[in-house]
Amino acid sequence: MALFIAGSATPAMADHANTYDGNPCQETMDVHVIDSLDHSPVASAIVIVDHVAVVTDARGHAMLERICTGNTRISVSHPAYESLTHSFVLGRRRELELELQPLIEDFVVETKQVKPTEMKSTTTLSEEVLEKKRGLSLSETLAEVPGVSQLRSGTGVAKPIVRGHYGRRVPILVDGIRHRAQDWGIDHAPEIEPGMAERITVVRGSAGARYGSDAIGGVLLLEPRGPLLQPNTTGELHAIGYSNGLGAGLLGRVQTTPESMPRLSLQFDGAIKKLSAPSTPDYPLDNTAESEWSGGITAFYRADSTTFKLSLRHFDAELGVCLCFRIDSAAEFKAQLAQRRPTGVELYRSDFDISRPYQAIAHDLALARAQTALGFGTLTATYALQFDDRREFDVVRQSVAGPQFSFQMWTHDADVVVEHHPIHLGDQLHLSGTAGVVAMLQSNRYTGLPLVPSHDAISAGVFSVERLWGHDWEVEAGLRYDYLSRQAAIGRGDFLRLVRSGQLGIDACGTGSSDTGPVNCASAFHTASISLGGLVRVTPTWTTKLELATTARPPNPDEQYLNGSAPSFPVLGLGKPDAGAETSNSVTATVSYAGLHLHGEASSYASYIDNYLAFTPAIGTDGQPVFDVLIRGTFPRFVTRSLDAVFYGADGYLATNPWRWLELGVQGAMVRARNAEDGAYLVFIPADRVRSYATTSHGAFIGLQNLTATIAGTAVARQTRYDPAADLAPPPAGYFQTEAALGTERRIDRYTVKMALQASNVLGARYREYTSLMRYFADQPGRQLMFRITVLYDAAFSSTK
Amino acid sequence: MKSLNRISLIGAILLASACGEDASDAGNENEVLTTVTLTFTPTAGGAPVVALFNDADGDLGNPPVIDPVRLAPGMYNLGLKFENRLEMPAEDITLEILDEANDHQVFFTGSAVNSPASVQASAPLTQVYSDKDANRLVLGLANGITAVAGTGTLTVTLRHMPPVNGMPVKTAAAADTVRTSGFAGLGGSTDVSIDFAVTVM
Repeated sequence: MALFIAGSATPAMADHANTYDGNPCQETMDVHVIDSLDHSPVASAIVIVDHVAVVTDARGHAMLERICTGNTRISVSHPAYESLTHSFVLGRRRELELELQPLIEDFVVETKQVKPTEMKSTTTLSEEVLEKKRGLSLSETLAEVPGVSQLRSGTGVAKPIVRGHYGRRVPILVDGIRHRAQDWGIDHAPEIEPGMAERITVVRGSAGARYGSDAIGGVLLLEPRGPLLQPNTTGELHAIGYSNGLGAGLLGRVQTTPESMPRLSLQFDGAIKKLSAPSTPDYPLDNTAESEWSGGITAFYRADSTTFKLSLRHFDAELGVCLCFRIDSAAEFKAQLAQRRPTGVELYRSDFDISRPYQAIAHDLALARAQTALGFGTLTATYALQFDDRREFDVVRQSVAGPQFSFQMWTHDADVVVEHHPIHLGDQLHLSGTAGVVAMLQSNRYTGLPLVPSHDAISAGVFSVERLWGHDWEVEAGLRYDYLSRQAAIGRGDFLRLVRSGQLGIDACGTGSSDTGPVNCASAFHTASISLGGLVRVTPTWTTKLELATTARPPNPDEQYLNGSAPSFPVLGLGKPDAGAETSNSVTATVSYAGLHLHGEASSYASYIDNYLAFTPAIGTDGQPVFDVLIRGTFPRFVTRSLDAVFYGADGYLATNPWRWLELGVQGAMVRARNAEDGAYLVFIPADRVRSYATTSHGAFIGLQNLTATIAGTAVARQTRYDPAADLAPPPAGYFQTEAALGTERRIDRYTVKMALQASNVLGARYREYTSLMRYFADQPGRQLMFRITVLYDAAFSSTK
Repeated sequence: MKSLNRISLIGAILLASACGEDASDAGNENEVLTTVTLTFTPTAGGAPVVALFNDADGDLGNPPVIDPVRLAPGMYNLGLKFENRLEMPAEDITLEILDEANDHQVFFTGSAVNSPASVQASAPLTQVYSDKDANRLVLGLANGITAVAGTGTLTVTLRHMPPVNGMPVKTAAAADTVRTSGFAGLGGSTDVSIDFAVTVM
């Protein structure tokens, strides 16, 4: 029997029919369609009452309006389920829950990809949006997301900033596995080609309970494509030309599920990019060329109730560091700040040469996953091995070969996650949830100039997130516990220096000060993350969300062990080996509207971070900044320090399409961050920004389809909230940047060909970015033109046309 | 704690299997400098005056020991020696600098010195270059010094100026540039920048 009307609604309806106002066809009926096996919502089901047809949304809801009271017939159909029809008496405003029986199990897997709405403010870049960003780096890809800006170092070296946090406080999950790399340095860009992702989600705000203890500022989720479920072959190829720096890129993907073995699905993807050094409007940024390639092989195998996945990825890059970056002594650094152009710029060139200083990076990820359907839900087990190899080459005498900083990191990750089916608690009331255990083992080897000692870490965690779904409200609670143990062998001299500088007690790593060998410094952290969120769909178009979250993050290795001159900054850095975990307590309120011609979201947040680990100038007992005399000159000393910090701000967007051919949008973000103890502003907090755009589209024109034209402008204010004592130069002026894009496509049989021309910094504005290391030395690149040709191939297309 | 040790043990096995041989132990060559020796040899004969900047345990160990420069008025030949004393035996970097003399130059600045890179009204020392590289440009490992009574600070700077895009960065005007615009106006990067207290009496 496929039909089931939950809670035998008919008698109750008759009661409410007393309020019937005499108009027989003005009634509203709210239908909720769920899967009879696992109680998950069924999206895209067609619900028909009185010849009024509505399709269910992602939550399985359909709102039927203007239907008649009295005896009514309802029918529900979905290709994956047995159709059902039922008669009942309808009162005034009624709610109905209907259970559909699946036809075949295989199909269910495909239709059941509905993700719960995040309690936080999120933005998901769909495949369609990402297609227009192929060829850009991860941080450039996300640059237009509200609340996200870029922390730039060179030109190709940048990482995303989410609500004022970056790197160590914004983990990146690639295919559900944490990207393990040296992400602590300002000049360490994520070793990820975003072209591998079908979807990228930016989660803004503290998210430790679900994603791990370091998700203080947010999370970036990169999801690759799933298997092709039907025998077919699809592919895509993107060829991109760049004008500044001149270069080209090629990205491709082939996916196939053979007819002879439909349970097997294979995917190959790759990208290669070669760019010469870009130029500012006035001069080239010598030695900022990039050479990058990446590739992946993924195999899926679907057994009866279990899907297996094996994936291998490699990323390789050589990134030149601008010759204009001169990390000389404090006095020289200050003197060159006064110059408008880098010294020796007349010799600078834009070419493909990458010479010292440069970074050579390789990253490997091997992943094995099994997902199996159990009676009560699904169980997913994943193992991943990552190897991150980072070598940084400085300008040296010719007799010196090899890198000056060399990091090799091996990480094993394993997790087992159970997602139980929604538990039916009553009409329109379900409980769904996920629980899991995670474990990690890591070995970090460092050689080179004094910087960080080699260290090893082991961690384990357990988490559970449960969600109660009502009709138009949801409540979610998450709990997580993590244990991390880290051990470093600190050289005796380095250890004693940390003791002398007050960063560490002589007995902090045990006794044995008479020894001469390295000191084994072990640290262990127990951290808990909790979240409690609620969501109310006030009307079908308005949704409000509120979340309280606590996330505790153990210190990163550099925050504990840094002991050397920073490669990217003219300072001498000292860590704090006995630093404790920092704890963020945050509250986020989000309001969103999704109407027919207007949609938008506004989110505001505040967090108090207890024990916030900051890298700040060391202050001596005399109250004055500490300088260290090195053979290369005098350098200011910076130390890891625990302070209490307050972050608050707001971000959001509004987009409207008053006519089908026009879309207008505006978005903005502001972050405030200061030391709660003395009120001092924190460094590298993005300045207030507003971006607006207009896109016009035309369905067809002389054989071309989907013509679109976009112009956009971004205004960034000068950062006026800064601490002159904690930075080496005042923030640069605000700036205004313009972008433009033209695009069209044409379908030819099984191929879809898309072409796009994109221009950034159209007016060639001279500007410096506060959140860029480049700002101390040179302007940002000038006008950039990108031309992209995309070819999509779908073997099944012509047969299904 | 027992169960934890077991986890660590499993971990150790996993790590061992994954890492195999640590590839990074191949060793990094680095241009570490710890010690600069100034040797003032009186031209009229007599015992040389030696002053050291010695950062015996490198950048991050104990603070460097810097000898004061105490001279009697007169003429001297000033020789410079650069070493890495973290190596055993100490590595003489001066030879490498000589090998790459076309890309290097030593500058003498500060209140104690009148030189091509520094003009000071009443400085106790006057420096002139007495060596040249293959391009006939001054180098600064060997110098002539005239000392008169007075005190001040002598800053010795070794600048590495490799060519950019095949064009020389080190030019005949280098010392003039330092005099007029400071080191920020000069290409290349600083390998050594150290201060000595000078007393001539």
